[in-house]
Amino acid sequence: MTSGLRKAHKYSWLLLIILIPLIMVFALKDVPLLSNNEALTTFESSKGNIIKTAENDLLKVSVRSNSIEVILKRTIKNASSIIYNSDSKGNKNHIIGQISTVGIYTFNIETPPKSIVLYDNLKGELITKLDF
Amino acid sequence: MGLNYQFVLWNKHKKMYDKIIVLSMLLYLILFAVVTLVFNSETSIETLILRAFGSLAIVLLHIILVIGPLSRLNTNFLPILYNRRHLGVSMFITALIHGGFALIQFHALGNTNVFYSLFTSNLDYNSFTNFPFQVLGFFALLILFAMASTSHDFFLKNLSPTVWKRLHMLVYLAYALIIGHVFLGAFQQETSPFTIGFLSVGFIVVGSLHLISSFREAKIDKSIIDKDAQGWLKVCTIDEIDDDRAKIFTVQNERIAVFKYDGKLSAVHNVCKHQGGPLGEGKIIDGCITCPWHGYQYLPHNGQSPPPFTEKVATYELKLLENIIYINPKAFEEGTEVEPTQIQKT
Amino acid sequence: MKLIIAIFLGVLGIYCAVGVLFGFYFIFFGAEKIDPFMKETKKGVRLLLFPGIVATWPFLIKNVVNPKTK
Repeated sequence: MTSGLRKAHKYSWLLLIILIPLIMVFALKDVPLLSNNEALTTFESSKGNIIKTAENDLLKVSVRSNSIEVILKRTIKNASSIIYNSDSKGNKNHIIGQISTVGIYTFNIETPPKSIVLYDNLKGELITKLDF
Repeated sequence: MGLNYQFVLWNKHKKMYDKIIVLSMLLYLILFAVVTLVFNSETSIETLILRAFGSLAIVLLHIILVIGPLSRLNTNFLPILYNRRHLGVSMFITALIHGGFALIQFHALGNTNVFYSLFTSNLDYNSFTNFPFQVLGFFALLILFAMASTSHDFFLKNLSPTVWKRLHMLVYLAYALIIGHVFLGAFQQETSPFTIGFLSVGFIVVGSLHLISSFREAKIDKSIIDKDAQGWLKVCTIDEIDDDRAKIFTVQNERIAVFKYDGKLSAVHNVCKHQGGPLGEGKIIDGCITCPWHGYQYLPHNGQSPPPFTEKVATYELKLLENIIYINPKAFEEGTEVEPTQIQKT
Repeated sequence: MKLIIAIFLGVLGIYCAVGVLFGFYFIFFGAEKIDPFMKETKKGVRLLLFPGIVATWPFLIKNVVNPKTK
């Protein structure tokens, strides 16, 4: 390599070494870390009575005062399926958690939602909506 | 070297190397599928393909990125460097399958143009965590396409080595885009500590190797050489250079190879015109400086490739005072004839 | 935003279209003007070069128009 190229490599990497950790940290800040949620909720979710439930052909959802239990009944094709707290019109507010395979999921929540939507972020489409 | 361009300049080692690449890639894909089906049997086949090829492309990119600094730190890695282009093309094909499949899967079913759909299905360009990450992947793939499609020697020659190298250094931008693509995309959909771990460790390894090797090279570039009254630089004694071999010196930030052959001394710029190989690590074969990387040849006294080839490197003037070699740091035009310095038999 | 995207994709599309047209001319005629090695080069290899020409045609076109730089 010529000296110019060596310098170009050095400065590219000095820049990347600052830039990439920033991307990583900011990206992970808001990620719903599934494992954390599970760890927290196994204990929490046993507390409190079920306030309300709702069900359709895909999901059965039980809401407690500080947690929400989601049962996914059948496989969904979507690569991305995230549950959001939503208003009655179906506009998503904040992320509750993500689901993938058939099973029971429990997530912590601060306030019981009025509605939830299951949303595919990749396709940008609504998979299903449940009102309580 | 032939008088026309070949499909791929294969030799025995390269064929072996390519076989290893293809087999390892297949093995990875099969393992990925098996592990996914065992631990997550509900995964749809579409998702499996996307993830298998996407993750394979990332693994390959990490390998590609460490080859350069590794071979600068330890010459045992050089054979892999000579073959890095095949790995790069394989990585592009893998990424293309991932990207092409994602386009078909997520954007081809509507009535809008697939690319328009890619850019407009998520318009949160002002948000960070909800940024349309697929767009980042698209730009990374564009860069990889430009690189893979110009990896043939034809482009190295006809785009000029400077343009070619600048184009191929865009791989660093592609790397940053891909990290963004994964962290803002895949992780927001399916958070896996394993993937986060791999990419973080991968980044630390790749980044530190590049920094270590570049600081080390910078140190070599800054090493001080004594000057005489006329500004000529004292480099070494004759005995320090073996016959038909060279020693490399850094003079005003450029590396110069001083060759000893047939009782004569000649100096040329150390960088081969073909792919920037270190000429000074090569030998004199049939009277020509022969690049250790791909065998490109130059005549030591004028830095020109023997006809019909047209490559030229810069030459330098030498003088000999009591067995000590001095270099005039001012380079001549590429291909300038310089009378070799005769070594007097004592 | 949608306007910017439409313009960007339009430009990208035109870039590729010009690249494809130039590419056909270049691999069979233009390349020989700037690189003597191309005269003996087989058709399959010329096609291999095609995608790269589409990607980098602005750099190559000036050499074909003004081949004395080589």
